Amino acid sequence: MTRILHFADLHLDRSFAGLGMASSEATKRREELRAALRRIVDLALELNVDAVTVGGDLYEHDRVTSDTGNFIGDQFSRLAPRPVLIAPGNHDPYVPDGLYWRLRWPDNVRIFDSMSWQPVQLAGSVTVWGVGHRGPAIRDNLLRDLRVDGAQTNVALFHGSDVTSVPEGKSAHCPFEREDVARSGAAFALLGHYHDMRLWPADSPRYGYPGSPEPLDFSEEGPHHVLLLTAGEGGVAVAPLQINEVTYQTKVIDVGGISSSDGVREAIRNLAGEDGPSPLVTRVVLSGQSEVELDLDKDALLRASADYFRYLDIVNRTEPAFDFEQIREESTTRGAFVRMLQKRLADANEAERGVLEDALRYGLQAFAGQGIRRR
Amino acid sequence: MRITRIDVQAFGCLSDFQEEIAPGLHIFHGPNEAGKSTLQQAMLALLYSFYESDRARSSESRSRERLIPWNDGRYAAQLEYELQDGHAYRVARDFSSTDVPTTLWDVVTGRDVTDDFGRGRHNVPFMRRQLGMTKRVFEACAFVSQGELFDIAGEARVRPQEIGDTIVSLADTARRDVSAQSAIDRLARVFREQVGGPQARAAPVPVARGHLAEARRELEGVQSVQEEVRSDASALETTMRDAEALREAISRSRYLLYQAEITELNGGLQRLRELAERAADLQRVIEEHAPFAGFPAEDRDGVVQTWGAIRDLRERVDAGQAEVEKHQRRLAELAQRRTSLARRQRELSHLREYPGEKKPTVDRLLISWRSVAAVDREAQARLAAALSKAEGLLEEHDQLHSDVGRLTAADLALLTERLRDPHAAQRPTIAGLLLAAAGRAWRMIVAAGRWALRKLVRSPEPEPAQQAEASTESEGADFGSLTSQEVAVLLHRHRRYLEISPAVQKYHEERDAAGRSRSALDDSARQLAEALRGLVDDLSDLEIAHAVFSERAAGRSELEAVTDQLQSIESESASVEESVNQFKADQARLGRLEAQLGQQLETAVGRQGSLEELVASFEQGCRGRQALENAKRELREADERTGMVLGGKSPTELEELIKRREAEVADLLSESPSLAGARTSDSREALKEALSRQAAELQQLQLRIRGLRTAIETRLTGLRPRAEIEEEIERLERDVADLGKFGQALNIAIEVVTQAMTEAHRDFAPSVGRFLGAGLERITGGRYQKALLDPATLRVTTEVPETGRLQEVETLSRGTRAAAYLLLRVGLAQHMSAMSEPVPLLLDDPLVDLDDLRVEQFLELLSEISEEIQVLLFTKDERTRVWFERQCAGDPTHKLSVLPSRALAEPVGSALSVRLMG
Repeated sequence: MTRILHFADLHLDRSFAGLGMASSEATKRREELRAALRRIVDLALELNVDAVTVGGDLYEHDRVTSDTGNFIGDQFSRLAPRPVLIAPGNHDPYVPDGLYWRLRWPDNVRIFDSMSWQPVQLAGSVTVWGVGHRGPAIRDNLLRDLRVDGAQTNVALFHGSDVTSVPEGKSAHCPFEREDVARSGAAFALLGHYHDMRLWPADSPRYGYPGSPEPLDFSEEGPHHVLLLTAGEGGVAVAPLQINEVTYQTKVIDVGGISSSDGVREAIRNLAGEDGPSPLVTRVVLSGQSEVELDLDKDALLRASADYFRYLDIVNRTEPAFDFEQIREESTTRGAFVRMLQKRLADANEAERGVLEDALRYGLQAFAGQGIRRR
Repeated sequence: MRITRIDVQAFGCLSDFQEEIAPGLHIFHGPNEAGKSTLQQAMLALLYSFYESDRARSSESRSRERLIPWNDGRYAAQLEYELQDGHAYRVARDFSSTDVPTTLWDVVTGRDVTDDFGRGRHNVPFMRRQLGMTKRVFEACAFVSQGELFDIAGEARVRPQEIGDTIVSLADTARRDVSAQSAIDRLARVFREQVGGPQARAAPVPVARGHLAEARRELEGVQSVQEEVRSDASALETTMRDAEALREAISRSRYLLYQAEITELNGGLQRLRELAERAADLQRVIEEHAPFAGFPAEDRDGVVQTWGAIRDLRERVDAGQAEVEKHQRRLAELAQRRTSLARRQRELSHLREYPGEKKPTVDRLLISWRSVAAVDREAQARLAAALSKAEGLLEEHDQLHSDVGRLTAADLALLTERLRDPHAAQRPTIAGLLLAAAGRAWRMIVAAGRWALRKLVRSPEPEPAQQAEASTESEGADFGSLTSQEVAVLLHRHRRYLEISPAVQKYHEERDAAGRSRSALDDSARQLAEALRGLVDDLSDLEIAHAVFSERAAGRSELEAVTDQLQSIESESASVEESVNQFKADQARLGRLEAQLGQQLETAVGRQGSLEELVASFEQGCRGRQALENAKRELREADERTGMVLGGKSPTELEELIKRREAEVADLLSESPSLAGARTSDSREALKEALSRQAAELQQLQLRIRGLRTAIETRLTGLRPRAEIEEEIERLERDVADLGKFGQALNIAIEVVTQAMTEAHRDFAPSVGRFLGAGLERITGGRYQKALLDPATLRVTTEVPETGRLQEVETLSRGTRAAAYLLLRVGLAQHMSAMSEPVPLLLDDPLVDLDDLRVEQFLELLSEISEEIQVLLFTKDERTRVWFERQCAGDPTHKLSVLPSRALAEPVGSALSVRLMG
C-alpha cells in the first residue's frame, strides 16, 4: 500500500493587497502560510507517507524571496528520503529565474520541469506522472497527452483547470475535461489550482483538488485541506484532512437603533465572544440606517476593537437616517440641495451613484453642522 | 420676529408713548397727524437705527433730525420683540446724538447682549443678523411708507438684485444654525483638511499620492531587478548550455590531440632510431677521411680558376701559331703593294686639285647636247623634205591666198549657185533674198573677190577696201555683178588654192620646227661649253673637249683610289702586327701560370708531376676534405634532430608519455563513446591551439556562470519583499481612490449647495409671482389670475382677461396697481419669512387707492398672513376699522389701537388701544 500526501496552492509569499491589510498583518498572514507548510510536513512525517506531492502554486514566482526558497528546501529535506514531487503551476512556473531552476534542492525533491509527462516510480508499484508549467499562462490541455496503462497504479500530478467548474474570476490554466482523466488511464489525478477542496465524482473520486491549505481571502471561508491518497490492492482512495489554522469570517452589524459609537463598538466586540480574542480573521460590515448624529469613525472603531480579533476589518455600508422626503419639501437651500442631488441621482449610472450618494450625505451633514468623515 | 412692545420717550410728535403690540394683525388707526407714520418710523429706527454704517450719510442724518421730538423729551425709545426660536430682546436707542447709543438686552436672562452683535459707531446691527436683511431690504419688502407703495425699487431705495441676494441669504439660514454658506465652508474645510488640493503638499491626498509614487518607484525598482534577474537567469541558462557544448568540444579536441600526439610520439621514436643509424654511418665516413682534415681545399677555387686560365691560354697559343704565320705573309704582301701604289700616286699627283667632281654635271650636259643635236638633225631633214615638195608652189600659194584665201563656204556656195543659174541675180528668190540679206555682211569679201578677178583679167580696179567702201555707197553691189566666167575663174582658183595649201602649210610648219630645234641646239652647246670652260684647253670640238675632260677626271679618281688603298694597307698592317704581338704575350703568360700553379700544386699534394697529374691529385684531396666536412655536418644535424625529437625528454620518457596519452584517450572514450573513430585533418598544433582556445573560452564561461549566479543571488538581497510593496501600493491606491471619491463627493456637495443658493435666488420671483397671482385673483374677484414678477426690475405684469396678454400693472387702474404692489411687498415678506425669521409687515396707509371690496379682500388676506407674519397696519381708513371690528373681534392675536389726532394737541403718550375680545 502506498500513501501520498498531496497539497497545492499554498501561495507562499503571496500579496494580501486585496484585503487592505496593514503591512504587519499581511506579513503575519504570510508567516501563517509558512506555518501551514511546516504542519503539512509534520503531518507527512506523522502519517509516514511514502511521498508528498505538490500540485503547483507552492509559491508566487513574482514575489517569492530566496529566503522562502531556502525555507521550502529545509522543510522538504525533513521528509528525506521520501520523495517530494512538485508539479509547477501558473504562479510558480519552471522558468530560469524561478526558485525551482536556480536553487539547489534536496535530493529527495523532484521537480517536473517539462511540459511532457514524466514518470516517477514510487514504492508499491505506484507511478506518479507529472508535468510542470514552463510559463505563467499554459492554455494547452496537457492531460490529453497522457496515456498510461499496465499493472501499475498510475497517478497524474499537475496544476490544471477542470473546465466544467471554473470559479468566477478564475483563469483556466492547463484546462482539461473530466473525461480526460479516465481517458489517460491514470487511476487518479492529484491537482492544484482551485482553492476550495473538490473531489470528483464524489462517490468514487477520479481527481481531487485539495484547495489551498490556508484561506487566502474572505472568499475562502471555512475549513481547508490536504489530501491523503492511498493506493493498494483495492485501488485508490482519497481522504481530505483539514489543515488550516486560520479561518476567515464576515459578520454584518445593523447599526439601526444604535445611537452612539459606543454601541457600535460594543456590537463589534460581542462578535468576538467571551473567550478572549477571536481566532478568526474577521470582517465586520456595518449596515443599515445610522442615526444622523452617530459618529462612525472607522479608524476609531478599529483602534478600539482590533485587539478582540486575530484580525479585524470594518466596512461601513450604513446610510445616515435623513428624512429626505421632508427635507426636499423645504423652501430652503437645503431643500433645494436635496432636490438637485436626488435629480442627479435619478439620472446617474451605477458608477456615479455612489459618489452622488456620498455627496448628498456629506452635504446634509454639513448643513447639520456634523463632523464629516470619509466612509 | 414679532414686536411685542414699544416705549417711546420722545420721537417726533410722539412723546411718552407705550404700546403692547399684538402678535398677529395690529392696526393703528387714527386721523392725519395722529402720529401713525411717526410710530412706524420709530419702530424702524429702533430696529435698524437711522444709520446703516459707521459713516453717517447726510440723508440719514436728515431723517434723524426730521424726527427730533417736538417737545423737550428725551429723543429715545425702546422696543421689545421675540424671535421664532423663543429668544426675546429689548432694544433701547438714544437718538439724541448721531452715535445713537444702543443697548440690547436678552429679556429672559436680562443680559446685555449688545456686544454679541458688534458695536458700530452709529449702530448695533443686531437686526441685520437676526432678521437676515439690511435696512433697505427691510424697507423695500416689509415697510411701506405713505405714498411709497409704488416705489419699491426706486433709485434712492433698494436694488432688485439686493432683494434677490437677501432672499438667497435668508434661504441659506434654513432656519438652522448653519447656513448654506457655512455648509460650503464646512465642506471646503473638510476637503482641505481630509483631502487637499494639489497645491497643499501636506494634505492627505498629496501625501498619499507621494507615498504611492514612492511605493510605485520602489516596486518598479524591484521589478527592474527581477527583470535583470530574469535576464541574468536566461543568460545563465544559455551560458550553461554553451559551457556544456564547449565541454563536449573540448573532450573531442583533447581526444583528437592525444591521438595525434600518440601518433607523433611513435613517429618520433622511429625517427630517433633512424637518426642513430645515420650517425653511425657518418662516423665511419669521418674516420675514413680523417687524413684530409688539413688539405687546403679552401684553395680549390683559385686553383680551378688558374687551371682554367692555363687551359684557355694553351688552346689559344696552339690555335694562334698558324695564324701568326699567315699574318707575317700578309705583312710582306702589303709592303709590296704599298710600293706599287705609292708610285702610281706620285704619277697622278698633278691631278690632285682637278675638279673631277664636275664630271656628272658635264656628262649630263653632254648627253643633253647630243640629244638636242639629234632632234635638230631630224627637224632639218623634215624641213628639207617639205621644202622639196613646196619649193615651186610657194609663190603661187601666196598669190592664191591673197585672192581667194578669204572666201568662205557660203561664198563658195553662192558662187557655185551663180555659176549654175546666171539670172538668179535678177529673180527674186528666197535664196536670193537670203543672199541679199547676208550679202551686206560679206560685202568686203565680194569686193575683194571682184578686185582679185579684175586684177586677174588686168582691169584696173580699186583696192578691195576702196571697192568695199564703194559697194557700200552703191547699195546692192555683190557677186551678182560678176560674170559667170569670173565666177568660174574664181572658183577654179579657189580649188587650186585648196590643192596646194597642205604642202605649203607643211613646209611652213617644218620650217618653224627646224628653227626652234636649232635654237635649242645652240643653247645646249653653249651650256656644255660653259661647263667645260677652264677644264680643257680647246672647246672647238665639244666631243673632243669632253673626251679630254673625261680622261683627266678619271685620273683624279684613280689618285683618290690609290690613296685609299695605301691607307687601308697601313691599317691592315698595324692590325696584323698587333695580333702577332698578342700571341707572343699569351705565350709568355702561359709559361708564368704553369710555373706558378705547378709549384702550388706540388706543395698541396706533396709530390711532383705534370700539371694535369697535379691538378687531378689536388681535386681528389679536395673531395676527401669535402666528404669529411659533410659527414661532420650531417652528424651534427643528426644530433640536433635527435634533440628536437626528444624535446628535452629521454626516449623512456617519451614512451611513458605515449602510455599516459593512451590511457587518457581510453578515459575520454569511456566518458563519450561517440568519440570513437573521430578524425580530423587539423594538425596537432591546430588542435592544441583549438584546445587552448576552448579551455580559455570554457574558463570565461565558468567565470560568467559564477558571476551570473552571484548576480542573481545578490541582486535580490536587500530588497523589500515585493508582496509588501504591492500591499502598500494597493492600500495607498485605495486611499487615494477613496480620498478622490471623497473629494469628488465633497466637491459635488459644494457645487450643488452653490447651485441651490442660485436656485433660491432664481426661484423667488416665480414664488412671489404665484403669491401675487393668487392675491390679485382674490382681491380683484377673479379678474386677474396670473401675475409675473421680473426679478431684475421687480416690475409686475399680469394677464389681462380681455386680451389674454401680459401687461405691466403700471398701465392698469391705480387701485389694481396699488393692490399689485401691496401684494408684492407682502409676497416678498412672506417668501422671506418662509425661509427664515418671519418678517413683520409695517404698512402705512397702503389701502387708500383700493375700493371697498378690495380693501376688505386685502384685509382678509392680511389677517390670514398674520398667522405667520406679524402685520402692523397704520391707517386712517375708516373701512379698515369697521372691517376689523367686524371680522377680528375677539381674536386675541389681533389688536386695533386708535391714535387720536394731535394736530393741535400736545404730543400724546399712548394710543387708545382697542382690543376687541370675545
